[in-house]
Formats: sequence, C-alpha cells, structure tokens
Amino acid sequence: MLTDAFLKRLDALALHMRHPASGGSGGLRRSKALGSSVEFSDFREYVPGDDIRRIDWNTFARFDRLFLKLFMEEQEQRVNLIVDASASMGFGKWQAACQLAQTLGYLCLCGGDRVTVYALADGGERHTRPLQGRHSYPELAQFLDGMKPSGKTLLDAAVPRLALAPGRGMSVLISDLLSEDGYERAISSLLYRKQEISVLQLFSREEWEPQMEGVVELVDSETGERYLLAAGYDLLKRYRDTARAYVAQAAAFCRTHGVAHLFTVPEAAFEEQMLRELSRAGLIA
Amino acid sequence: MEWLNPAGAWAFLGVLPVIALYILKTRAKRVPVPSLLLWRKTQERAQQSRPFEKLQNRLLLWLQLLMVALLALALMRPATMGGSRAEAVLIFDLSASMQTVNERGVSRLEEAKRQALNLLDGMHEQDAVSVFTAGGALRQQVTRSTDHALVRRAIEALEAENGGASLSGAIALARAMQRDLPELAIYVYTDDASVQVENVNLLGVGQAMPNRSILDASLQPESGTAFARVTAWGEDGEAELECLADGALCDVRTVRLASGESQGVRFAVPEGTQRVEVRFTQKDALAVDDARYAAGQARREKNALLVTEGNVFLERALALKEGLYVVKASPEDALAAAGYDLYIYDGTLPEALPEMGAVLAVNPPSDVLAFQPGEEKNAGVSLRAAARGEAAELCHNLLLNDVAIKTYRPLMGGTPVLLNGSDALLSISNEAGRRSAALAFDLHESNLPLQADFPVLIQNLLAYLLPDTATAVENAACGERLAFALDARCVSAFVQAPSGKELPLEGSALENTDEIGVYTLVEALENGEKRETAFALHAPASEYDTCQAAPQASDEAKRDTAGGYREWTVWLLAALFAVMLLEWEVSRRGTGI
Repeated sequence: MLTDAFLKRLDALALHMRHPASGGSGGLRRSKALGSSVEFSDFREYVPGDDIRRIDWNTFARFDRLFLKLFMEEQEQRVNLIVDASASMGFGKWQAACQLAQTLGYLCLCGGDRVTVYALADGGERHTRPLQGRHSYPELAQFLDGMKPSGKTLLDAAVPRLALAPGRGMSVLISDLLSEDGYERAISSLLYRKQEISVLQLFSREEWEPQMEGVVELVDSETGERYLLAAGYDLLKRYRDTARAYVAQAAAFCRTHGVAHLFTVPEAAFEEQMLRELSRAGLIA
Repeated sequence: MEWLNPAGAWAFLGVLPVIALYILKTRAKRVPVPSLLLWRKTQERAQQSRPFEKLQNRLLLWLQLLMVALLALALMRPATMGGSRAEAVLIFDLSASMQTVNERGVSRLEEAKRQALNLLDGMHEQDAVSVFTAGGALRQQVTRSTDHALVRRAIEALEAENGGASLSGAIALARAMQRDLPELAIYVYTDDASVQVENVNLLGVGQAMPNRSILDASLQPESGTAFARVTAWGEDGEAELECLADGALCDVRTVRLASGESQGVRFAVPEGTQRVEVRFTQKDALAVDDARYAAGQARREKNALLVTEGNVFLERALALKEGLYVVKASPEDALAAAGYDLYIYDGTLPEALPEMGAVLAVNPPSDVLAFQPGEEKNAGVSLRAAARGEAAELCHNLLLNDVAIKTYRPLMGGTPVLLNGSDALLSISNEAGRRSAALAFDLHESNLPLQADFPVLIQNLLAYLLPDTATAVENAACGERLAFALDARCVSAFVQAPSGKELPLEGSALENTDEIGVYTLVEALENGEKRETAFALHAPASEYDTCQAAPQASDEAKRDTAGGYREWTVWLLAALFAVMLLEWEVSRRGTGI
C-alpha cells in the first residue's frame, strides 16, 4: 500500500486520458455528452420534452424565444487495471507493478472513475468489484497486496477472456510481456473492445542486465524448465541485444496500434522513478 | 600414413575424463530466471546470424574432444613415406677430442648422442639401425637391429676413449653394406674437420673451444729435473703448472702461453724420483691433455753372442753400441748357447737356432728364420734404400755411395732394407715378436765396412733388433696396440695399468691401452728375477687442438637426419594449439552447452 505522504502527492495529479469519457454514468471526466456541469457549451432552441429547468430565461426575455443553455456532461471513466501476476513478475517486478497499479487506481478513484483491477495468475484471473471513490482505495490496495506472483500466464489467451464492463473504457496492462504465446493478441482484443490502452512493461534489473559467469543452469520461474549454458561476455552481450530488441518490438507494436507504451526497469526507490516515467509518458499530469 | 608410435593411441582414452568432466560440469549452478523466453531468442538469433553455430549447443564438448584426439594423434606421431631410407648406420667418433666440453659442460660425444637419438626417434620402428664406433678399434656395437630400445641403450652407453680414431675403417665397412643395401644411409658423428667423404651424412659436432695442452714430459732423475712442453690452442693466457714427484707436489710454475706456440717448462724434482706428473691446476675444455706423466728409466745392459771365425769390422761396429756386452764365440762353441738378447751369425748357422732372442745373420749359408738366400750373383751393385716404413728408417743417415760387393745371394722373405735393383741385400723380419735381420753378402767381400755408412747401419740394425722396452713405446699413445721387446730370458710378463689392474699380454703385445697414466711392464725372467719397466701413455697429441671442429651438419644432411619420413606431429601440435585458443575464446564468449 502506498504511503500517506505519497498519496498526498498524488492528490495534486490526475490521470490523463487521450479520449473523453463516454458511456458511463455521472462522473468527473469530460465526455462527449452534454449535461449538467458548470462548464458552458452552447445554446439550443427548446423542443418539447426538454428539461424546462435548463431554459435560459434571460435569453427568452431578450429574444422572446425559448433557448436551452447547454453545459458539458461529466461522466465517469471505466478503468481496467490488468496486472500480470504470473511467476515471472517476481524478481523485484511485482512490487513495482503493485505500486503502479495502486498509483493509477488511486488517481482514477480520485477522478471519480470506476476502477476494476484484474490479476492474471495461474492461467486464470482474479479481479475486484468495480471500485469507485477515494474510499475504495484501501480495497484496491489490499487486493493487490494480497496477491503473489505465481504460475504461468499466457497473455494472449487470458486477456481476451477477461469480463470487462461493456462499452468504452481505459485498460492499463502492467506486465513484462514475457508470455510464451505473445502479447499481440491480448492488446488487439482490448482494442477490439474499444479500450484506450496503456501498456506498462517492466523488466527487473537482472533481466535487463544479467550478471552471470561460467556454466549455469537457468530455471524458468513459470514452467520450471531448465536451460544449460556457459555464460560469457559474448553470450551476455547477445542477450542484452535480444532484450532490447524485444522491448523495442513491443514499443513498435504499441505505437502502430495507437497504444501507449511505457518501459521501465524498477530501481530500489521506485516511487520517484514511477512518477517521473508516468509523467514523461503523458499518463499523468 | 605410418604411425611412428602406435602406443600413443592410448591417449584416446583421454576422451573418457573429458566426457566425465563434461557430465560433472553440466551440474552447474542453478539460476532462477523470470523466463527463458529471451534466452532462447538469444540462441536463435545467434544461430540465424551464424549458421556454423548450429552445433554450438555442444561446441565446447566437441572442441575438447577434438583436442584430445589431436593430442592422441600427435603422440602416435603420424608420418608419411617420402623416399624413405629404411636402414641406417650410425658411426661415432670415440676419439679423445670427443671429450671436449662446451661452455655448458656438454661434451661433443654427448651432443653426438643427442643428435643420434633424435634421429632414432624420427625413424620408423621397422627401420634397421647399425651402430659402429671408431676409437682405438672399430667396433660394431649394434648390427642391423630393428630393436630401437637396444639401439638407444647402445648409444647411451657410448663413452669416448682416450686414443685417436680412424673413421675410415668404419666408413669403409658401412659402405660395403651400402653396396648391398642402396637405401642404407650412413651418418657419421665426428669432430674431425679432416673427414671428407661423399655420400655420407657427415654430422659435425662440437664447437671450437680454446684449450691448453701438455705436449710432452720427461724426467731426468740424475739431474733432478723434469721437463714439460706446453702449448695453448685458440687463446693466449697464463697457466699454472704443478709437478708431482712420486705423488708429492714438488714444484709449481706459471707460464704465459701464446696460441699455437709451445713452451718448455723445467721443474726441480728430488733426486731419485721415479715418476713425475705435470698438470695444469685449472680445468679447460679438454681434460685428457691437462696432465702428463714421465717415468725414469734405468738403462739396462744387453748381451749379444757373435758367432764368427773372425770379423774385425763387425766386432768394431758392435763395440760402438753403448750398453751392449758382446761375447765372441766360434761356431763350435756356440752350439749350445742360449740366454742372449742377440745372436749374430757371421757366415755360419747352427743346426738349431736358440728359441728366443733376436738374430742377425751375415751371409747365411742356408735358410734362417724368414730369410731364404738365393743363387749367388756377382753382378754390379748399385745399392738403394727402401722407400717406406720401418725399413726406410733403418737407412737413415746412410749415403750408400760407391758400395762395391763382389758376390751376394739375394734374400727372399722378410722386408727389404737395402736393394740392388730388385734383389734384397739386407732384409728384416719380425715374426711373433722375434726380430731378425739378414745380410746377403760376406762383409769381407765388400768395401761397405770401410765406409762411414757401415757403423751407422750396424747401429740402426741394433736399434731395431734390440729395442729398449721403454723406448719402443716411448712415442705410443693410448688406444694403440703396443708390441714389447721382451727380454730373451723372460718366461712370463704382464702389464700393470695405472689403475693397478693387471693386463695380460697377447704374445708380446698389449691391446688394452686406453687408460692414461703410467703403466708398468713386469717381466719374470727364468732366473727368478722380476724386471719392471715403467712407461706412460697419453692421448695422442693430434686430439689436443680443440679449436678444430668439424663443420656443422649441412641443411641437406639435416634433412636426411630427419629421417626418410615426413612426420606430421608438429602440425598436429599446432592444430592442437589453435583448437585450444578456439576453445578458450568460445568459453570466454559463452555459449549453450
């Protein structure tokens, strides 16, 4: 759970969404719909059936015609925080993933959004009820704190099966994207479901800059599979090249599909780094 | 392809520990990782970019197995035939100069043995090898043996002798073998710069080294002095000499030696000294010439029996010989004579010659020993001396002018000394140690006794017929066969070597003379008396000049020395080294196993 001091800092921030909210009930997000907020939008001539409370009587006095004064409708946003909780998210990544999810969830809750957290683990998923309001943050935090990364998760298989709320929304996928079956289909399925997607890709330091020497037997944390190799300068260099190419490939895929992509290697004090990275990626402002 | 050392195949068993180590090594440290996805992709990328690395999964193992295989092949010493010679004769010079050591203390013979063993290593195990040595005598140490271990032992056991060496006999023997075996290769290991023979691989060993030598030493006990002559080879310098009289140090002298020049050194020795040893106090390249021995000799009187009706010329000439006691007798009185060192028969011969003692027959009426007088001749005489050998030495200082001889009976047998045309008028013989001479004419029918040549000729003859024991071996050197002129009354004799060992005589000759030092000839006479004659033997002076060394082996000889096979071991070792580097690089870069 985030500290109170950090949550206070978050109070001054808001989650930035590229698209206005649509389809939700009343909230604090600007929407394409016109409604009852304080922000003036336009005038429209009265037609029978309109709410007579919105008639601008000053204009009627001046023009002797009935006009309705239109204001921007503020709606809630449906936000899905999809957190990869497979075993590969251990190794220092899980805490960072939780902090990311809690930060984004807190910002959404404070923004009046309806937040659902999905945790993908052991080939299945667990999720919270749709949460709304700042007071729901502890539930969100407890849900994440109660999870432990375990098992094997295939993103391409698991994400399309998520029971997201119908209609438009925002989905944030927090994962290392190290899924045997890939991640492309997962992202595509979210796009298909009219989600504004942000992919937050995390690699641990050991994953990004592995340090090993001699003959080692690598053990896959998800499958338990073993892989024997003689680690040396050349091999590690090739691995680093491969890892960077893999991240670049994910970034390119996201850019192609209009998906925000943020890659980070969490350091020990992740909070400052997280805010810096999210701000640079334009996710918070 | 031949394998010079098939036993090297055992090294292939080395793959077992490699595989065992591989199996043990594969129990590597376990490192949990989030996912193997990227590691697999890493390997796939490497294999795509480098197709040859498809086998990289086991590359280190394969490289290590390849190293073992290369090592095993190298140990097996593969070789290809290339006009190979399947038989070789190795001839070693065992002369004293082969004991010369270089700056590292390695003797020339050791160097020769090392080269020969290298040659042996490069030969096929079926190649036959002969080992001849040329020292005091030619010896066939090993003859046409394919047992290279035996050959190796024979070569390793070789030791240089203290005498000279005649390589020509060994080379001639090897060449005789070569006539039947055209493929036979002859290798001569020598330091003798004078050896030049064709179709022989002359492998010069050793390098020019400065040396100091004691060329000669003599003792004059009556004057209390000893004398030595020393020289230096290749380097000027000072040398310290010490003189030991009967084993006790009596004098030390320092001399300055110039290269190539000899210098005399006189030492004061106590009166009555029997033996002296003169030696350098510091070592040099060759040890055998650093000491010289001399023994004082008491001159011994000899007895001669002159059997004649009367010959004043002969009596006068014999009387000139110092130490010779002449007894004159008529033929009748001399019938049972015995025990003389020399018997002189002038115009007469006994029915039976004494069993021992030298014989001079003047105008013999019949055959005597090796001489057979022919028909009497009275042709004109024009004397001439023999041209070569011992016979020529007897004619030293003879003018032989205007010699007139009335009649003579040309001699058959023996070695002619004086000739008239092809007729021998004076001959000598040495059969079984018994010396004899015959004059083919009556001295009274010639003007030779009236000429100055006559006493000279008689003295020369006496020197030949009555050699002094010590004088006979005075100029002898180690390794030579010594023939002694034993006392006529000697019933048994032996020689005591410097080491104290008793050496038996073969007849009157001594064969085993390789030891340097003072020998003693011990003669037991028939009257029970024992007569001892000391003499010293040294390495021949021709061996002392160590600045002379045979030229090093030519490139052609070296190629031949490498054997008729082309061995690939070096290339395999080079490949092994390259694979080692590759394995190290692969290990350094890291790879899948």
